[in-house]
Amino acid sequence: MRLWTERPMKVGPILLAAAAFLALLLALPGQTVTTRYLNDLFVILDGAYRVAAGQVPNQDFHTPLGPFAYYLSAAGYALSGTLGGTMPTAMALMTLLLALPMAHVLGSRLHPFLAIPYGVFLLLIVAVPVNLGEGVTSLSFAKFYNRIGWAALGVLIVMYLRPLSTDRRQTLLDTACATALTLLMLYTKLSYGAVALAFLLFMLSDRQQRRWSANALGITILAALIIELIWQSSLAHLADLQLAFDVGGGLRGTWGQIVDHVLVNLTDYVLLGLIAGIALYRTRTVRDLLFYAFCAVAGFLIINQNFQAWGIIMLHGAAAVAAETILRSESRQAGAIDPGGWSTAAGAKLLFLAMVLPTAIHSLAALSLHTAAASIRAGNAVTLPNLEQVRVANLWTWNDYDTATAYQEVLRDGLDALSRLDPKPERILVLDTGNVFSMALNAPPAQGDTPWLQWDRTLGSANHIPAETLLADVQFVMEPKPADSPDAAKGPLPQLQAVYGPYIAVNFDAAEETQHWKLYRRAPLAPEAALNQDGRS
Amino acid sequence: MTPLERPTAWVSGTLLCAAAAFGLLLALPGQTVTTAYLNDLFIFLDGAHRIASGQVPNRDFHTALGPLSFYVPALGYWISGSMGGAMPAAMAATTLGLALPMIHILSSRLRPVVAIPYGLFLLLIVAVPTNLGESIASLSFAMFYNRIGWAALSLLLVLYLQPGNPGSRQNLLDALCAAALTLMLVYTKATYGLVALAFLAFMLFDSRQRRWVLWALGLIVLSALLIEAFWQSSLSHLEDLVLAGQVSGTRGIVDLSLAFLRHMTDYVLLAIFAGLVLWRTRSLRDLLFFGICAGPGLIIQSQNSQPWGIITVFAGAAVATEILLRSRRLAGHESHGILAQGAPLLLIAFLLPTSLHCFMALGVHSIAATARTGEPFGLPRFGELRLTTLWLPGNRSFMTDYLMSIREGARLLSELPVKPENVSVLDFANPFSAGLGLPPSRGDYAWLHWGRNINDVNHLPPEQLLGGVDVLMVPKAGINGIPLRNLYGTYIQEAFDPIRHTDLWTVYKRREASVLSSVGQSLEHAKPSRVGAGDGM
Repeated sequence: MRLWTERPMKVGPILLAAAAFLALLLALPGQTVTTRYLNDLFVILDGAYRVAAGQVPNQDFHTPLGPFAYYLSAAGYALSGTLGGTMPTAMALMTLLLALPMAHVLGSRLHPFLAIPYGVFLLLIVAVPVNLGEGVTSLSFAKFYNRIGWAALGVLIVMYLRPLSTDRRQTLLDTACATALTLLMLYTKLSYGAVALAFLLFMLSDRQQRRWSANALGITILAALIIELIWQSSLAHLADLQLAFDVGGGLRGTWGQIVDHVLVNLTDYVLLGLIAGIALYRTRTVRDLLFYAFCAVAGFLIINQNFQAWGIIMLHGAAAVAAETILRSESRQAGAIDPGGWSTAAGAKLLFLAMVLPTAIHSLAALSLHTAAASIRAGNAVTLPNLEQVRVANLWTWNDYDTATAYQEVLRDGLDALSRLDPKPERILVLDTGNVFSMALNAPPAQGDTPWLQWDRTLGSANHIPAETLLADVQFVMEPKPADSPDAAKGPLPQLQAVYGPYIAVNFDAAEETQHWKLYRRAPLAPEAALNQDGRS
Repeated sequence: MTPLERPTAWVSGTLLCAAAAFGLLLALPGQTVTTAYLNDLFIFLDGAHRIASGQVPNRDFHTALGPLSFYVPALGYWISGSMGGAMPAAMAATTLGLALPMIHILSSRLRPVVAIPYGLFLLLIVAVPTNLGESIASLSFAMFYNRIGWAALSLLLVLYLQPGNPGSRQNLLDALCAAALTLMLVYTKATYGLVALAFLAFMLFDSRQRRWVLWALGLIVLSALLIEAFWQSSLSHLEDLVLAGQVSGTRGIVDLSLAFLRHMTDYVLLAIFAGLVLWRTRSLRDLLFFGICAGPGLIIQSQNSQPWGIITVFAGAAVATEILLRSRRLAGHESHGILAQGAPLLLIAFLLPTSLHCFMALGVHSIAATARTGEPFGLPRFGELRLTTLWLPGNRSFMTDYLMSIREGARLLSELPVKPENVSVLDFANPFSAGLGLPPSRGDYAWLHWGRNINDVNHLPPEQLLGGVDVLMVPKAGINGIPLRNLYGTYIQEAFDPIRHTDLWTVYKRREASVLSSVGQSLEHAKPSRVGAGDGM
């Protein structure tokens, strides 16, 4: 029962052990089980495949996502050796990596009763193969970078609290943790990184913590310069980000959608309001108020950019800060118990538990489901070469399963057509969200294209990479045929065709046509010459 | 007496004022604004119209819902005097009506810090004009009986606690409240009634409260007999219930599991409360009580067409908080109870988000109704009803198209030379009798929901369903018109003549000597219809 009452308790080792356990749950079966967003998974795996093939993000392909997201998945690929083992291994690795700064930050700043649930909650958010806000059975690694961003930010903002000790070692470790977390976010997804930088700037206003925050800012800038020296693609990355930003905009959606999005997260906002209100009543400082407001607003700005309905994890982080603030003010006026026999400190602990425990249990259930499904080889393996360790399961997800089955049929059809071709096709571009064919055929990827063509997210009719650039190195174009459904006319395919169709028509020859695909091969010479050549042969 | 009376007065005053305020917010504009489930609304407008015309549920029309589900809208119609005012006035009256047993039960058993938030929460559940678990912009009075059921059942469950300071009339008032709530549930929707009766049976095992339970059970039996003496339709109600049960009664383990996963957050919080209580009391009865809050609620919820909201879980939390506060008072300030001292704050955190959500939805309806937002329904007696979309995402054309088809049907009906006596609609609901002020149909179903109360195996024979109908409206598609047409098409061909035909409706008139006067009329529309013009006989 020491956990209940006393402070000295080894938070760090507990969190590290929890991280190791979760990482094992994820990585040990060596299989990816997914029930939805199969195409997103292929986008991610294509990225890992490209990096493994020697490509450098933003140098050899366009992407608005930070390079770390690609190197992490590539590390998963290298460690596991299979495409199916890639994402579980990568996320297990990430869980372990994140546990290091977490053990220091939470252990040095939060009461164990807050630190352990909060730490486990954040670790589970990274480890769970489910897009936040979705059901236990919606297993998928899609949007894994969002979960990394939330968890990293969730650790970083706890540094708003002053540490219990202020010795040199503390400052050193604080600097290291803040720098590592900020860099992680900057090079995973910039929206998180921008908020992290804003937080570091805000921390300069705390005289006691100015030293580490100033150091962290300086080292972050220095590190960014060193990374640029090696990577040499920072500007290209910013250009890709600018493109995605122009497509989506800063604040996406109509006002009605924004209101609804806030309301989906209403419970968390209300609970944060409650606990932060009590904390502010105790401390009455403007800085605290600014901090809570910063978390509430910045958190929404991030989720507004995400493919995610629920889960502004910054609110949970702010609630942890508020709960700790209440506990500290309570211990200062020791022994004070409110009239009526109920205590705010106990209430703050329970309230914080109520905020994190449901999500933690939900995530643990989903993670266990993934482990179980992967261990018993549930569902069916994707019937494409090199992807045998990716399994699509029907876990009461009938609609998603049907969608995935139909999608796999289409892919199979395309792959058969490609394998019939001689010479072996390479540098393939798929006029669809993702490209599964390069990795399935072990074909070298094209240079200068993109693994991720998502209409209205990475490109739009006004903002897109011109066809001459995107397709410069491409030798094969796979164009899906529209499905029979009436919605197909409104789908992204006609839009993609409108943007890239004319260039393909001029520079490519129709090579084959199947039930689901049209295959184009780059014309050997200029179009006029190609005609002549055809005549000769 | 005096020290107890003051908090009691506080509780009563607050709850009564709140009920009055919520009721006024609902009823004062005298308008119904809806953005969803138009078809459901029509059932109960038609129901109010039937009752106002002297019909009796289950005697003059079939329904698996209890008679109160029709008398409540009829009460609203009687109070407001208009179809548009019926549902808001009905729910305002229910809110006020529920406040009376609520004041007695909550003020005699819960201290104000528990009673006031919990009471406000239950009042808002009844008053809010949305289906539980939906957006605040999804305004509708559809399935209002579910919200009445949840609130009444969750109030009844508080009787589990022994009264804090029993007065002389405690047992009498307890028995009256329990009997009234149980009867209300039994005659509103049977699933809730069954749980209420099971709870009363469970209460028989509490020797200190057995007296009022026995009185209540006696009162219930007596009332049921008395009601049957007047109503004389209990058996036919049971038959309708059995039919609906055969169509959609059973929910498989998959449905229940998915529902459980959707309510994981609520169950985790109830588990925290229950854990805190059982840690101290170690009482099997308490454990069973929490089981009653958790288990049957799940079954009821999976029967309802409702994405979220097992409200009995909140009853468990309120009771748990009171038990913790009482045990603290009894045990004095012990250190091991420190965490339990936070229970009131946890309870507020549990209740506040939903309360706020409901209050906002109530506010949105009041503003929309006062501002006369949206498009009037366009039927003569539906002047105070409006359809709008607010900021709801997605394509809402389904509802607008449905309203358009209703308008056209109304136009067709009002153009008929002879005023129909018994119009029936072979679709989900009949908006025409109430909307045009025609005599209501008789002997048919209050509504026909394919897969819920009718399917191709379980249905009434056509002679019984359509035997008394003289004008039958058959929609081209409607809500679920097509399977119904397949089911009853043969009989319609035999017994009816098509007299009007448009893109959206076919109007049939019974082929009978008594209405032969209109046969000349049908010759006027010489356009041959696809069905049965002159065949047979």
